[in-house]
Amino acid sequence: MLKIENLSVYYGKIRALNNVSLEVRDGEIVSLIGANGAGKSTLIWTVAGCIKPLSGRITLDGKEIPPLPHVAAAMGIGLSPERRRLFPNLTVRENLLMGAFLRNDKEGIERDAKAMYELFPVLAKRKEQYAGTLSGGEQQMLAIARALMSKPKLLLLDEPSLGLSPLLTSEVFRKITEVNQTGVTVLLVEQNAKKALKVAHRAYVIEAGRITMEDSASKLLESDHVRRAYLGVRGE
Amino acid sequence: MGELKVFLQTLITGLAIGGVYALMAVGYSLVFSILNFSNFAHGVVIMLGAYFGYYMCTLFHLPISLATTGAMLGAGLLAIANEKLAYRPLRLRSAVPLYFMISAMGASMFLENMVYVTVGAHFFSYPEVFKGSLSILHAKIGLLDVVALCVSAVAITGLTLFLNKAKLGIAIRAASRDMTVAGALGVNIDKLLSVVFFIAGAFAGIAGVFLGVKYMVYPTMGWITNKAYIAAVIGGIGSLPGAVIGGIILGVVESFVATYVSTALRDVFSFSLLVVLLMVMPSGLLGKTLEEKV
Repeated sequence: MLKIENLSVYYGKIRALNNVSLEVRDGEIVSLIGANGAGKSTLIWTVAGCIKPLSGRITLDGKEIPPLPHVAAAMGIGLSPERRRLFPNLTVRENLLMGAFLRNDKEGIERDAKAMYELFPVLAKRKEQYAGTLSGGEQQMLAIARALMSKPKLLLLDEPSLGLSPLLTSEVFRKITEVNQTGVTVLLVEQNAKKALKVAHRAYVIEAGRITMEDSASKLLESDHVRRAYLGVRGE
Repeated sequence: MGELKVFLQTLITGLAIGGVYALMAVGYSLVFSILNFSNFAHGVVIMLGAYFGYYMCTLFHLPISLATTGAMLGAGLLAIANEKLAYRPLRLRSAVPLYFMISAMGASMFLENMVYVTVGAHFFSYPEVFKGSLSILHAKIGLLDVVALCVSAVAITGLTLFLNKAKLGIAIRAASRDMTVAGALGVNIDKLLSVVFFIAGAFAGIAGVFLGVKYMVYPTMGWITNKAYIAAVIGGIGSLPGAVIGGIILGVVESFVATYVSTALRDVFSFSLLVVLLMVMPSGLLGKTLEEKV
């Protein structure tokens, strides 16, 4: 579905992504794990069309994604950004409507909003509340729901566990699996490597802007390097 | 009963001027809420709106309602052109707000001088419209004031409904908080800004016609918008209700100072009001503390 080939991104003279290639297949959850500043978010924003790469190709179902965010969204990219970035001055319902901005099927939008309230019952009680008044966990649910409202082919999730308690993190990851089971393909970017690897089918490790490992998530969970560097397991 | 009569007249005049200030202030606030800079080219858009209306009245002999519509369209399109030529290039390079402000001043000087070069520095007056007056409790209320008040109220109510109910309106509020994410959700930011500038320009067109009818049409009439800017700042720039409240307060205060104190001191009062208010409430009446930004 998503194919990234030899992608390089620079911020001025600073190289953020160095010749990155990555693939997400239909129906998969693919995790990209890495430390702070490794280039995870840069990759997400570039796929979403918000950053113009220096070189490389990003294609969705064979069609190239241009560096124009509204076009990327129209092609089927749904983004739940890092730190959630909800519209605090909009109500929960209005945030969902913004997720469905490119859709014109009123009934379908209503139906999907209802489905979101069922998937995330905490939101149903807060429909008319400003998003700025929600708790961290609720905000994360809303950010995912907002991204899903566009009926994306590919859901980009950037650090969904950020700032959440372990309990809420587990809850969010359960929801990610649920969403994936409804047929949405997911590219997940996380610092919480353990959770991200447990939920994913396949995973990549990014270090200093380069992909250094790629394998099935279960194999990466057992790799010595990943265990030492990302899972806090000390060498035997 | 003379006291009451004067009071009532002063109040209505103040509200009418306040309504026109509010129309202009809303334009400042809308643009500020999204692009985070004070659009100092707004004044010339209002001035040119007044010219558009004037020429529709005199050259094409259109009735004032159609002339106002024409002025709204003309000023709206002019505001879009202003955005595309003076601000879009800066936006694409993610320039800081200061550059936008300098670009706005440049656009303002350019357009003002274009008027001097082409039309000249003459003062024009609109054909006499809304000349009559109504009598309420023995007070003579100018018809123009009543019309100005009603039109401002309708326009601002319409805008509020649009921002709260329409999909595009909600998108404008969303973009005022996070333009990048709004774009990533599918909002074409270029188009959205054209809509925002068109609204600001159309409101400027209405305000320009009212100012032209009430006073005169001349190249530097845009200075009046300093007052509208004050109104926007008093209310809390970036806040739509703030712009309206600020405009009304300023209009009414000015009107009362002119009647009961002295006309010469009117502007002294406006600016003092601004200074004192900013010392007490640095972000204006409804700035920041309010959940809603647009």
